[in-house]
Amino acid sequence: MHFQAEVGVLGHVDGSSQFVSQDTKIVCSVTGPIEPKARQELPTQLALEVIIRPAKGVATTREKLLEDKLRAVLTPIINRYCYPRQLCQITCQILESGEDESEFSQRELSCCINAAFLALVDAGIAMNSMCASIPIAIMKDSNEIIDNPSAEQLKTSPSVHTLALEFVDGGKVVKNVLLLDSNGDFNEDQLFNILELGEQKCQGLVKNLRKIIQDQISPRLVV
Amino acid sequence: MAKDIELSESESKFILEALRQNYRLDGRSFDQFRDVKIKFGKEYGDVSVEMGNTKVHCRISCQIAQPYEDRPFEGLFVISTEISPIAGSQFENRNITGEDEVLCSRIIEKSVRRSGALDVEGLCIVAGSKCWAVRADVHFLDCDGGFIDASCIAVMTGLMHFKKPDITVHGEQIIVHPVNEREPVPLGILHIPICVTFSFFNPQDTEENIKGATNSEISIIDATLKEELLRDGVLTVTLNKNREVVQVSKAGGLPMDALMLMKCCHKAYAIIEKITDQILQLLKDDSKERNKYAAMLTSENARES
Repeated sequence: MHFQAEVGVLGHVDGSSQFVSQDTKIVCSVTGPIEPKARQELPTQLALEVIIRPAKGVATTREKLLEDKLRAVLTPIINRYCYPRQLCQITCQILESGEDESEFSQRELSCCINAAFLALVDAGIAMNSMCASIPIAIMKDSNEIIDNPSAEQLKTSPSVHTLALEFVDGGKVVKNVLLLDSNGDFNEDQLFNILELGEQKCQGLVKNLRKIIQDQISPRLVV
Repeated sequence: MAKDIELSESESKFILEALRQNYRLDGRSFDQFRDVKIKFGKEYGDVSVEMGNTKVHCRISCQIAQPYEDRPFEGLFVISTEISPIAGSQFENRNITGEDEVLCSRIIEKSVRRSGALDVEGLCIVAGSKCWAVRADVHFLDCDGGFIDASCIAVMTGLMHFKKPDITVHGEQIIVHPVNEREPVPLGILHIPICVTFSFFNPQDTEENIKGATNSEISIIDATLKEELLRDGVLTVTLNKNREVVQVSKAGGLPMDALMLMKCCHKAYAIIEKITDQILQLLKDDSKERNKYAAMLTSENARES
């Protein structure tokens, strides 16, 4: 997956990132750990407030669903028991969706996951593992599986998927599948192929994500 | 602007004392507006504006809707200025009841929508049944003061940059031509209102604040977040290049006399003139960049102009 990302782009939050892949552009901010409102507080662990805001119009049920998926991906990778009775606010602003918003959300979701991961690291929140996510589409006639499909490719494909994997050991070992969200017509073999190709592509992506973090912090390190 | 951030006593004393001695923290003079950086996105009507550390993104979109029953010849125009926690943790998601948030959206609304900057009659397709609904979504990304000024610039630049798809009307039936089929058409902009915000500080004690006889208040243009937190009064004037005052907003705070208001308007005019020219120049450069093959593809003869 080809992308450009930058961390620490905003000044008034604890961590932030900008993630651009093809025509999709996301800004993500992380604030935390901060004091939660009484209703958000969890006695033993960090509470997460996940917000996704669309490029055009007001947030609808579509964004709520995206928020829910993003929360499901982030919850297991954050070391939540480090911060009991605290809150972490994760806000993603979609600047350019890069797909037809009325039909698809795959590109936006995977970019949000990657952006949120970078912003969490930038904010210095304790993490258990890394994550990387890619959108996948199966092409109509050739049955070819492509990662990071464009808006046109999404439209013509019979099934579209979002895959998020959890990595440990410096991004070398896949620990778990965090999210596999599929839409359309596909069969079991195709799904296994998606997981296989997705693993390769996510591995490449996680390497690049690590590099971005490394480039960001290495000048700050005192040797 | 924000309530939850609190400046320490020593920091606020320092800033105020510096102002008394004619200094600002960022080294600007009192009447200096921050440099405005405007960038266009890939699509029409996608604009980001940076003023110092303040970042605002504006996205214009349109769709076909039904006009209001009492205004059948007018299209719809909505500006949404919702502040999210991305600008700073002091802002709450979906909380538009905060005083500053309301003030900000009201002033933008007054400056752009109610001043008739956008020709809403030009958005009418079929009277009473179909019209364009234009929407401006302002995303505040980073907050370092001057939200009103920055979002006004962003909305106006966005509206001028935006192009809606071309349509053909056959009686009640309309055909919307995709952008790659027919050249999209720009919106009708009647004038370009730009906001300039003045902040006032009272160099004397609070008694002076009430009586206000000496008029020795300090006025600065385009305050940063820290200056906004400490100010005693605020005035937002909106002007356009035709030397028209679009709106003046001064909600309480330090009293000021009419001459001061005139002086502020004159100062603001110089600023808005510069910003308007900058916007127009950038739009020209952008359209040249987008249509760089137009000169090659056109069948028009070269003419002396």
